[in-house]
Amino acid sequence: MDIAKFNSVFSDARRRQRTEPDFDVTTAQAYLRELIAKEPDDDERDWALRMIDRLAEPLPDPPQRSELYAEAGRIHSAAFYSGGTTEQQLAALEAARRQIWAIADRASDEEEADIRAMTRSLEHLENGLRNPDWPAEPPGQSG
Amino acid sequence: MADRDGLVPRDSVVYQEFVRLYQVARQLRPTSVDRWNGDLYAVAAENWGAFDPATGSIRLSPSRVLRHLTGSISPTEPHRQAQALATVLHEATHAGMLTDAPDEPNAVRTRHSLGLMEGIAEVRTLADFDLFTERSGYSGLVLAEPQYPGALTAAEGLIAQATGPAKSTVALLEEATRGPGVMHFDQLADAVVRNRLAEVVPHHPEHRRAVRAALIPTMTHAYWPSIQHRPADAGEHLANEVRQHLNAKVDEIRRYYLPNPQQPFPAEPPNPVQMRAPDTDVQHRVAGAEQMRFLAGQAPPTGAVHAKPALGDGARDTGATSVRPLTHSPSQRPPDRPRE
Repeated sequence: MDIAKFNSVFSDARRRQRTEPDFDVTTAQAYLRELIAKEPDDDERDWALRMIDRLAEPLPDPPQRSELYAEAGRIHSAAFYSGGTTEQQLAALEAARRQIWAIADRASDEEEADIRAMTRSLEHLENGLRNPDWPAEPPGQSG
Repeated sequence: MADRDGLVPRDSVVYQEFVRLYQVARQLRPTSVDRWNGDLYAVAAENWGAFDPATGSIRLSPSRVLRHLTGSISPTEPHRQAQALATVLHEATHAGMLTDAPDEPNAVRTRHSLGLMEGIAEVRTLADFDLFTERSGYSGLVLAEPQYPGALTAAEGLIAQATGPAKSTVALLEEATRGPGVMHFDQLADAVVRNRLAEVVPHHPEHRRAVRAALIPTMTHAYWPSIQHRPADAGEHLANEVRQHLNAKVDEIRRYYLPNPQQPFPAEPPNPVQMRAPDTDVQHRVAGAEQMRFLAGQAPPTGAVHAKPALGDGARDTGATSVRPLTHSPSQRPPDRPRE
């Protein structure tokens, strides 16, 4: 079975399920079933059919977020969109990571990891700015 | 279990579980590039960890990531485990594509691409998380969608504005996860050309490249503002700015091509390679990564590093895939073993 193709179509159906109020799950399921119709009757196909059936299950409600989550989110956004020189941006990213980590320490078990995960991209941006994979931008250049 | 800084032994249970998950991630979105050199480090700092393009290694937090790679769902810490697995998927995405494309005129070799690369990795992670966990034995984990403007929302906004019937979100995400990272903006611009300008821009590589070059600044310009402070709802503001710039440029391009001009749309490429000296720094680092792979006793990944990115209109990577067998090849299903 072409797992990659199945994954692409399935994940897009999930995305539309999340974002489009009038998403037609039955049509999406029919398309996915057609996609694997000629596959041999084996474990892979059974697995794919189970996943297609699961599309019909309602998505879990988005979690109700706390003020701590919102505060961490604001810090993330300000750092992610911060401009200025590379040095200024690095300082903003590093400070935001530390602040968000400290907020996560005070958060509930349900939110702690999701708050801390806000730093994953910030950490990678820092790495990329410190050790760019291409010639560094001229000193003092703003975003 | 690796619980402190250092190289994770390849015969350890956690290393083999990471390899198994890495393989599932690559199976779901195969690419012809695999930059991971097989070295996995535990790094006990206040970090999640990262793929290191300079060495080819992957470094992960023992407490935030590695200890959750148990082969089955955690009954007590499902939220933490979900983010640990999201990190594996995210890092596999970075390791599965080249970052740079120094010879491509439309490469955006600035921090704008750093931001978009993060966004694409997060979009991929959210998109594939369900099948990734279902397929790897962590059935039932839920990855909550972020509710704040940042890498994911910025990339989603650009994708939504660029895609359409001629180049869909599915097609764009498939292409973007093949990289290179500095070409993400060009890939988005290509979607704009195909969806909104296909009938006016000639099917000539120079015309198409020039038009994409003209469209790219409309996305980078507002993506990363130069002013210092933005409101908390920066994501929405930026999406609107991009929309306005993009629509204006699309209209300008339409007007330019109405009288059927011979010359491509005038646009400065973001990476005017013909004016630049050879990029010896990047070449050195690529050579360094190859050396690490040699020292690790591994065969070079198929197509990695030396593969010239297949880019440009009509010549894009069609998805031909070759997944390198890793040194350790645990079964796809979770091993029947005690948890760590």
